[in-house]
Amino acid sequence: MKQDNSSPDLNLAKTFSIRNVRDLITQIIVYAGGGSVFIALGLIFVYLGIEVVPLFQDIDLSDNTAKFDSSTELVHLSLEEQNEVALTLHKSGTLRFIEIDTGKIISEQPISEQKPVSEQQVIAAHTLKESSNVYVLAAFADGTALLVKPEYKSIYSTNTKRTILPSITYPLGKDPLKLHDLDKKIANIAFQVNEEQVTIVSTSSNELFLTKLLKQESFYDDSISWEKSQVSKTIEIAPDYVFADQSLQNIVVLDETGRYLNFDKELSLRKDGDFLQDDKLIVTTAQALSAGSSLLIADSSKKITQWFPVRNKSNVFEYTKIRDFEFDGTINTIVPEYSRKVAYAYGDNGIVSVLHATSGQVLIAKKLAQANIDILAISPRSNAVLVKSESSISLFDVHNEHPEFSMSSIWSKVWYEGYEKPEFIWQSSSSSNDFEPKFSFMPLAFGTLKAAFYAMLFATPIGVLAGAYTAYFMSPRLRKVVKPTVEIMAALPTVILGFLAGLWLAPFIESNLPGIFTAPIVVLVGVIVLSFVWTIIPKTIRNYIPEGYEILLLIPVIIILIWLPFYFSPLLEIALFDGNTRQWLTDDMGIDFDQRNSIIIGITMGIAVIPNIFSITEDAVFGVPKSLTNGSLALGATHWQTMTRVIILTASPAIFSAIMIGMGRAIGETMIVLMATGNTPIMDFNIFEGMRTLAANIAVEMPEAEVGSTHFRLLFLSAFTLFILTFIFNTMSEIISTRLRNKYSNL
Amino acid sequence: MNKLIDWYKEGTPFLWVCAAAIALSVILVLGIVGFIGYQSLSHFWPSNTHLITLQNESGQKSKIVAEYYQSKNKVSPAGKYKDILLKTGNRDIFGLDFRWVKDSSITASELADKYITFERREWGNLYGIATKIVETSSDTELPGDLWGNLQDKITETSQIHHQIEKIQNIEIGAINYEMEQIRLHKRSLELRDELTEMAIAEAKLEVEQLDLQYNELNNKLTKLSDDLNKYSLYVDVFSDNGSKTIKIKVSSIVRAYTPNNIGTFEKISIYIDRIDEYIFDSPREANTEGGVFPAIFGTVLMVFIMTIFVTPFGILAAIYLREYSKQNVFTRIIRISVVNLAGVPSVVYGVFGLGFFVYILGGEIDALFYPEALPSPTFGTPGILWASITLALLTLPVVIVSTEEGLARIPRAFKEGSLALGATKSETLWKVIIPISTPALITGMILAIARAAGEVAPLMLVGVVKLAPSLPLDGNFPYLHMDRKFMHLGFHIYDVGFQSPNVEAARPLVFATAFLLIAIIIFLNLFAFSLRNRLREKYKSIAG
Repeated sequence: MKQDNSSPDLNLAKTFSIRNVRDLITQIIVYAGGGSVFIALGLIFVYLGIEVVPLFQDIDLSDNTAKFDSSTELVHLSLEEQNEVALTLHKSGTLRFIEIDTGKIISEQPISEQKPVSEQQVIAAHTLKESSNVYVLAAFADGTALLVKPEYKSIYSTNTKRTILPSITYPLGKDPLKLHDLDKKIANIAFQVNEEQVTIVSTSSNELFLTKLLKQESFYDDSISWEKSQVSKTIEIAPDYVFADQSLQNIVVLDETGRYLNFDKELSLRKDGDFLQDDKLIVTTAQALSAGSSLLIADSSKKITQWFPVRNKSNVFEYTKIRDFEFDGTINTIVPEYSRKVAYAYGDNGIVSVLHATSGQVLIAKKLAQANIDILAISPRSNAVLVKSESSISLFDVHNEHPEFSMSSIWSKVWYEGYEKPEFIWQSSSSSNDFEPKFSFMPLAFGTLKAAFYAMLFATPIGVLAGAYTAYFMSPRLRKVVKPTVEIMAALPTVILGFLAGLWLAPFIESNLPGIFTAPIVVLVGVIVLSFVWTIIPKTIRNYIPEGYEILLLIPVIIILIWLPFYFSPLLEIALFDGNTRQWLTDDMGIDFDQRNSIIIGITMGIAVIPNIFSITEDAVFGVPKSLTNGSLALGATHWQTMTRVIILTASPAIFSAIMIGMGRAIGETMIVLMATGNTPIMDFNIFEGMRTLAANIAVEMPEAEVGSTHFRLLFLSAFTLFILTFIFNTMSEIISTRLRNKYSNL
Repeated sequence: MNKLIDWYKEGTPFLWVCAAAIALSVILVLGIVGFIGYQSLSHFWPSNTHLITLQNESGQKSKIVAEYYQSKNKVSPAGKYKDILLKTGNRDIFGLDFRWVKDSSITASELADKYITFERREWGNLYGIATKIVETSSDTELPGDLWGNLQDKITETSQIHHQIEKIQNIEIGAINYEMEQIRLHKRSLELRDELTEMAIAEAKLEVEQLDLQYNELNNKLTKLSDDLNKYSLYVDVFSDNGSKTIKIKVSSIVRAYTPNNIGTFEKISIYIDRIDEYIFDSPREANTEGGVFPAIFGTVLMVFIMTIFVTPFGILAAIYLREYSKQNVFTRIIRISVVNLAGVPSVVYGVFGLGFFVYILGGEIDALFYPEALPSPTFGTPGILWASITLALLTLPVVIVSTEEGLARIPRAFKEGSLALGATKSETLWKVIIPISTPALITGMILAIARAAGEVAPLMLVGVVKLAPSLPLDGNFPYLHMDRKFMHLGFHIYDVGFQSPNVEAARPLVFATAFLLIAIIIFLNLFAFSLRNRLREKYKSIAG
């Protein structure tokens, strides 16, 4: 007290400042709280965007600067997974492991320990990757061949330093394998490896040889032996190229003119033809893509054409031209990636073009060497290439994570290997090894819109009419109860609706199909008839239910009206559809039928959306200024006329925004679609079939998607698409309702 | 005719169609809730068993004891008939719990007197007549009343079961947890190059001690399981070829009763007992039987953590919008953000949570604080913390909208009075507005909880599993394990209803879970609704 008296001004100033500081701090905190909402939304947007951006990034080939000399002629070059060690196979038969960074030779050995050095001349080598192993098959001048497999072991010495220890193993044993007699030199060679067997296809002038090695595991010990069998065949051309696909369904030989013969796995001729229709053209090079069923044929018109077997009209698989790629120069060499449908093509000017076959694009063309490129090798992880030119080998880093993605590949039809025609397909995974993922957004986008369409078809009339009635005609006492009751529906977890739809409604509707189609008609007609009957029955009865309380009468009536068609559904079924509507649909009408179909989705998702539409419509109609309605009524309009000519018109923007909000919800709804449809990504508007939506697709596939893969990013892209779509719907509806509010406040 | 024209002109038919729309909506809500309620609550009622004589197409007759489960009207060109689903139980004998039969193949059906319904820990229900109860080892019958003995022994073995569960889950679980901690501690020392001989010896000593404890517990367990198998029961049952006698362990029985011979009062007590089991026990048989306690627990804990995150932000944002905002672009942007946050599909939140929280934030946290556990992730994998934060984001607009609505109900007079008396804006806020609007804040929180409890799609991506090995809250330090995965009622519905191999058997349980979830959510909504109304009523006079 004393202090107060002694210096009141000072004290006042002091408390003032503390209070002011407190005030300021509170203000800052509150503003921050408000801003956090924007930050949250922005964070979602930005983060989803960041995950999606790499899809749109262009391929990049950049010089790593690592370089080493290699002057002798190579028949094979490859890298291990970490891109630290290179393997070179020289024409003389020397195998050499080289550290790429330093050019240091780690080890060197002759390819075969069995053969005298003079006979080790390698005339051809072929390489492929099976699961995670790279194999190299080297053919010698004496008609023998040897399969080698480089192995790389990572050794961690003292903490984090890693060294890679390369070695050579011989999966078929160290003895070279005799493919031909001495006088028949190996001209071309191709092979496939799987768990049980190794298959080698080789040619020698006019002869084709198929050598099979079957794995035999001994019962007594774990030793493995290989049982060899061979078939040969004289053919009418002297092939320059030979290919075998992974399943060995197709063995193809072709010569320089483009003439080809296609054999099956017993070497019986399936089909022959010409890859080049124009006689003046010649094949400059040919190569099989990974898994081997697609062939890339480069010809002297600076083009590469892609061919793979397609079932023709007479049910035979025939090599068909799928698409072509054009280049500035003639292509002499094509090197396929080990597991994707990407190939590197180059001519003699040092320019390397990278193409992705399935999406039909040339991703980049870049000069990697000043002179002719001798040999190019792609890393097993496809993130680097080694290029030999002018007696030195240099390493290039490749950033090409998502070659299969392009706007056209997700939105237009793509012709995938093994399919009869270009199609929209979403198939992200499969059990087989040589599977190519198919990412078309069309079936998903279509499914999303289809589900939303059927849901809105059910929900819009009910939601809007119910909202209008409740706001304008219903007695206030009843409205107080009815409105929250319907709004509770919005709080029902969708997982429960989905579960009811999938386990109860779907089988119920399947066995009562005639009922579900007659019920809406019966209810509609019944209600209209009732409304007329109600006007002509005596007033004494009518007084029991005053105006505004109609629904008390209607609830029991509608229950009966819904029940009736289902009760008589079996009779209808016997009378009209031979007692089994489902069978009648598929057999007589040719309409496919799924138990979990669009009817189920329409009803269930409709139920989820009704409260949203109802609630906003109701608010809007209720908010129409009384002066407007009273004016209309005073001029002699009936209630119904006022409703249709005044109220609905005034509230129409809000009703529109209610539908938008409902649409937004239907597009993003996940659990109902997940549980109440078959989740098959089809493109068919048939009401008796299901769909797969973007949202359900995310829920199904996200947990299994490999982080950073194209699949993973595409799921982010679908989330991003959903985000943007709903953003547009919500922002529009918010703007409309703000405008409307301002308009009303003027009235 | 005039009447018809009038009727049409006045728009009566359209008006009635509108009324029909709202009537239909009401029917849908009440129908769904009522249907689920009926289906779930009737499941716990001990239903009667019937002795049914079946005749197959070749005229052969066979007898079976079963519950009538469900019937479906069917049609064939020959006319209408019914398909009846019988719950035959005895899965170990028939291979299946359920059997569809045509109504015409049932030639006789009567209440199965003397038949006992045994609820078992494995293989589902068993229907049969108990003949004698024996000691398993010597096969000698126990003296005294069979029924009394049976009930005694069931209670006895149930207690042993509980003890075993306690030892296995809690005590051995704790030892395993400590062992893992020791291993991690060692690894972290190793990473910091501080692993001395002494530390190794110390760790070894601790491990030895724990091993000792473990062995002790293990011995105890062996003894208990011997006790568990002490008694067996002979039961006469029907099989595919006539009746036969089987011997089952008393410990495999959860509950035994004769549904046809007991009165309503006893039935009610069984009913309550079964509901009690459902709510407080762990699931059995791949979630298709037993209780859902871990799922309830997981849901509640997740929602609780979520509330801690969402409430401050939501309330501050609402206060900003109501009390501090000016008519400017910033406010507009925030309003649009709120609307959009509310409209973003929930699965998008899941994708965001998985990518941003789990992979990015979680990955960073692991690298910084839990390097010893790598490569197995601690926070870099879906878990309850990330699930809660994701849902906090999702429910943020719910809190904002309803809090703001509540704040709007506070009469201006309070605020103006306070300011007029010289209080600053912040003093007005903390001392006047917030205290009187507490119900509004609670309303927002409750609605957020109701929303979060029913959300499944995002949780599937950020931390829910079908069967969690341990609860996220237990007796091991630090008690609350935010990195653990958890079970959730909504996901339980999805998983059991759609992924379970025995859908018929699982169905009642899914209905029960659905009803539990609906009941919780409707209760929360009604509570919030009434709170809000009370607030409205309270200040009506002042505001008016």
